[in-house]
Amino acid sequence: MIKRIKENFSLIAFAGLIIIVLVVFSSASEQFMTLGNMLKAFKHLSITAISALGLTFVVAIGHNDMSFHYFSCFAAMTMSWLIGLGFPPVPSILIGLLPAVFFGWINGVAIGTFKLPDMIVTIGLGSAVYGLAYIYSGGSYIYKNFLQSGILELNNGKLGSLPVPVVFLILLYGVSWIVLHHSVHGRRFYAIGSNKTAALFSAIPVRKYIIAAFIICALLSSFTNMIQIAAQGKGYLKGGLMLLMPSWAAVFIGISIFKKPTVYGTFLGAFLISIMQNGFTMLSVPFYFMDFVIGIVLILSIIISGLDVTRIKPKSLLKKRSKV
Amino acid sequence: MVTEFSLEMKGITKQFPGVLALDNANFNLRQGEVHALLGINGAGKSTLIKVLSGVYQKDGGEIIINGENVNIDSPASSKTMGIATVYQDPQMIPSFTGYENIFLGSESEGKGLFPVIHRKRLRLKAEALLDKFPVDINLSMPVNRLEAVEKESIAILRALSQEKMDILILDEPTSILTRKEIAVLFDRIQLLKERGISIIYITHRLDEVFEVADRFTVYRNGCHVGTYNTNDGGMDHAKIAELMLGDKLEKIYPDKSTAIGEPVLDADNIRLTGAFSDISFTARKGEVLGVFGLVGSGIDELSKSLFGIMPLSAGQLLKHGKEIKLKTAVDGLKNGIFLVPGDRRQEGQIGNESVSFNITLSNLKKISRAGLVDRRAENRDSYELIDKLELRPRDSRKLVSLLSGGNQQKVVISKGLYTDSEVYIFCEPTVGVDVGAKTGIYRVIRELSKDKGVIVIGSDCEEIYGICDRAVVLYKGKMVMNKPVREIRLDQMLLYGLTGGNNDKEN
Amino acid sequence: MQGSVKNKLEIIFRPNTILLWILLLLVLFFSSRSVAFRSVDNLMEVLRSCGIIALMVLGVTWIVASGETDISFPEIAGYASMMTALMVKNGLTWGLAAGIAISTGVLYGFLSGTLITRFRFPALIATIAVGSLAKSIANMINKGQPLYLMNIDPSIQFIVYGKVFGIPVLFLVVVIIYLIAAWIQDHTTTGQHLYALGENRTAALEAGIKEKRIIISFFALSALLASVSGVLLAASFSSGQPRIGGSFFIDGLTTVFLGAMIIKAGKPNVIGTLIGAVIISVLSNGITMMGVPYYIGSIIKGLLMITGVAVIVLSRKGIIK
Repeated sequence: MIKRIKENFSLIAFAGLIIIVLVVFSSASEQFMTLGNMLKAFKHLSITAISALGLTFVVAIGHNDMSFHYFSCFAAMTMSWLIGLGFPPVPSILIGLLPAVFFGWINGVAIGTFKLPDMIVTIGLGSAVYGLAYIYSGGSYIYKNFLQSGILELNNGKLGSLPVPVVFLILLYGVSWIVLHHSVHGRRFYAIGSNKTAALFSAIPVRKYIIAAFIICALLSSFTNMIQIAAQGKGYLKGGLMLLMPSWAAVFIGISIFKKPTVYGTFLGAFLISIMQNGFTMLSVPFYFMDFVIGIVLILSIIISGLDVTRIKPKSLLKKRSKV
Repeated sequence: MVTEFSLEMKGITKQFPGVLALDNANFNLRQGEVHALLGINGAGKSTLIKVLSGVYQKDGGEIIINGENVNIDSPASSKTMGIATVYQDPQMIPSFTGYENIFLGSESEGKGLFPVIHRKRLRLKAEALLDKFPVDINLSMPVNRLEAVEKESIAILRALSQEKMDILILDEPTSILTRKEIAVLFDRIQLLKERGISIIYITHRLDEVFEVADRFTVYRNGCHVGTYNTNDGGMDHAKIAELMLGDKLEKIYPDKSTAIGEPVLDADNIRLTGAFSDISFTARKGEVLGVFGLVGSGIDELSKSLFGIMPLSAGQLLKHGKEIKLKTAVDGLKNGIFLVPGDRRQEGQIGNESVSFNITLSNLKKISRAGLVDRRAENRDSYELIDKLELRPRDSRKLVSLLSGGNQQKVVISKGLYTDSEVYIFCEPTVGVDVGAKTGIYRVIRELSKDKGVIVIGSDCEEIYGICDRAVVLYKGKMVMNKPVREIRLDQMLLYGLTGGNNDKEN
Repeated sequence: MQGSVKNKLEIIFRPNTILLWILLLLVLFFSSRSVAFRSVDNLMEVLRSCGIIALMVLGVTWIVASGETDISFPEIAGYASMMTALMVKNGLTWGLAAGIAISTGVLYGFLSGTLITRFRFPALIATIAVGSLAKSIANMINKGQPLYLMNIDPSIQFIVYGKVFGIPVLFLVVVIIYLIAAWIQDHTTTGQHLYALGENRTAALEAGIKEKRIIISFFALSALLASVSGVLLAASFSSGQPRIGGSFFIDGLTTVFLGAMIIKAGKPNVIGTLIGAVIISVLSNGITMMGVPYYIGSIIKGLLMITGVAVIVLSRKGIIK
């Protein structure tokens, strides 16, 4: 019994943390535990969670990505520009995702094929792409056609009683869960992430998987940012920038629970962050407390997992040397 | 206090997950003697050294230095007790010069926030060390531009720079040296001995024992077998080998081949620029082809080239008479070739994943439908191989990093067997593998060779001689021998590997 | 004959020196295109503005050289600028206010260092977490708004805007600090151990180098210098700016990574960083002076960074010679 508790220490500690958070918020605000608020919380959750999901693939393969939020700005601005030109929503979204695929591919080739350090490549390419995103409107908002085009449905629409973002959340998590945890590809992702050389010697096409991971990451964060833009009701350059921190935090909280990057771990991480953000919003705590919350939760959860000595520490998975 | 021994280790026990590395082991060392520590891989000699140098903490037993019971709990405390260790693969800072590496961590006696380094003074101090250990070496050159031999010398100089140094541990110092350099090294060792330094000398080359050591101790399976004087008549190579191997001497290698069949893989004048050239051989069904060479002779690169990891620069590879071109490991596997690589931890296994994850990794198609992994099939197939290779513990969910070296290697071999390839290449298949697992691995190799092409590549001449039917020997990237094993003697093969078969060619 | 010419070319255009050529080209290019750029006043402004960023990333340079990462520095600078403003607003002298801002700012560095060495956080995550704390606290000070100041202490004013012999005091101070840092880097055991840690941690630990102490001190140092630059930012903008950090994130890291390309090819080093800071400053200023939209600058910087890394890595592999 004691051994079981020890083995699942992080998970139990995490469950305790969630319960405490829920109790505190529902006693502080009557509206917190209502169905309406929960749906709203889930809609909000989708944004962090989908972007973090993309990052999970990159982290699973043993790399860092500091560029996806910049790419998402470019992709969402491309979409907004197309909407402004009068394109219908679906083609605008799809064409908007193309540059994300392209930039993700460049990341993957630079890092996987040419073995350049991931931190530098992603920061460098990311900032260049972010600069490039200014060409659409010089940095100002794009309102044109937004309300008439129907793009707002990406956030406001419902499928049955489920909001569209939540539908995508379920869909993308379902697919990713199958891919990463039940398919041969998932095996290869993890093999590369834990020991790239051994993966190469096991006849796994390592470069292709690295490229795929960076493309997935760029794609998912870009799509998330499009939902966010739809929620804002205007093309907004800086919208994507706020994806970086919560995504990393979610992935790492997930790692601290399950000792490796997983789809369900990332979901729980994003979930914890989102209910806390939602709870604080309910209590009318200003936005700038959110970073504080994320920082503290991140530190706490990893310290908890650091105390749990029974399993392999996440360090071995992610301690990367950013040597040039 | 005067005692007979400068160092005594009594009843040392060390337990690792799955293996008892040292079982109540004893060791003693007289002042000013060279004491060889012998044993096959996995006998416990390197564990004993790591306990002594503070890398591992012992689980039981006591260490007595100059009559005093001491506690060695870190590399630093080992150093203060006057113990210095030179490892087989000394770790260095590549861009630092020789003298900077020698004094790394003890550059300055200055205290305070920013102790100053006087590089000139360090260089002079390092050059002064050359009086104690005269080697011809440029200490102002970054070590990444030095030869392996020179790095070894730097490591010895580093040991000599220690403030107090009574006991020097040399861990297989000759494995990468040429014959001439070995002779020089032995001269130096005599010099150190005369200064009253006691030396623990680890090796697996028996002739060196008689050349350099005063006494030797044999370990087997983590136990102390015995300590002997080298000049006590009646001790010869065969006797020592028997002590090292125990009763397993004959049984360790399976019988030689009786029926040699059709060719599977032909190498025709293959070359990898900078590593090897003009190598031709044929791997046939029914026989095990051995490739022997020292570390650095091109054997490691050869194993990688045959699998496609390092694409060949010239020459042809023919499988069943048809030319195949290998650019990546994916090509290698597609063409029915599998490599069990030499560096198991780095190249062979995914340590923090399970046994079954590793076994199925190179042939996931076999356990998947529509790209989805069938866990039941995975488990079934894994246990089939686990039982075939007698993996212990019998648990497909166990993380590979928690297994003993021998079982880890069996996992890597199982991964290969699961791909159902036609040609198997084993590079250093039994490094860090205990005796029991070793015989098991040899048995698998022999069995495989019945209807597959099998190539065993390595720097352990006894192993190559014992397991193979035909031996190819590499010397500095050139093929210097290709003969059936029964036509040559072990010492002949070794000589070709060490010198290229011609003593005049020695540089 | 041909061979020797080729050799000379190779020496001049080694990857090691390529950054200096880029700097020269940039200065020549902007000078030829913009009269405003080549005025002495403007060139001095370039030097002045590179001072703050150079100061901010001195510690980061060493952290990256030791094999870790720090991305919390811009947020700590933002925190220090707000803290200084808050203290001054509450009637403290500038000196005292700066002291409080800097000494509390250092705590972030200790926190990162402890998380990394004691709890084995990857440095990226530790500094993301600590950076978000700093950013959040900076915002809390005045509800997310800047805090404007009426009076700036003359001595701080002198450091930020003053000139000696026509050269900005700030730049001179930074150069002196960098020279001291260069000495520490190349002539003390601290510098030696830091590169040892970055190149081969196993060897460094075997040699008994005190990893924890060094890593924690470097994170503390980085936080200290980020805080000092935060104080200077408060003086130079006459206000505390909670979100000032964001604009230094890319520029700061680009500076360090660009700097890694020279002197010690491939390894971050302080002199390289100082030159990197001048390049970044020339780029930003030149682009503004030419009237080109400023985002072109971030495109160029990003591409410069990747090209630079590619040149180093590929030349080391022998793909580019």
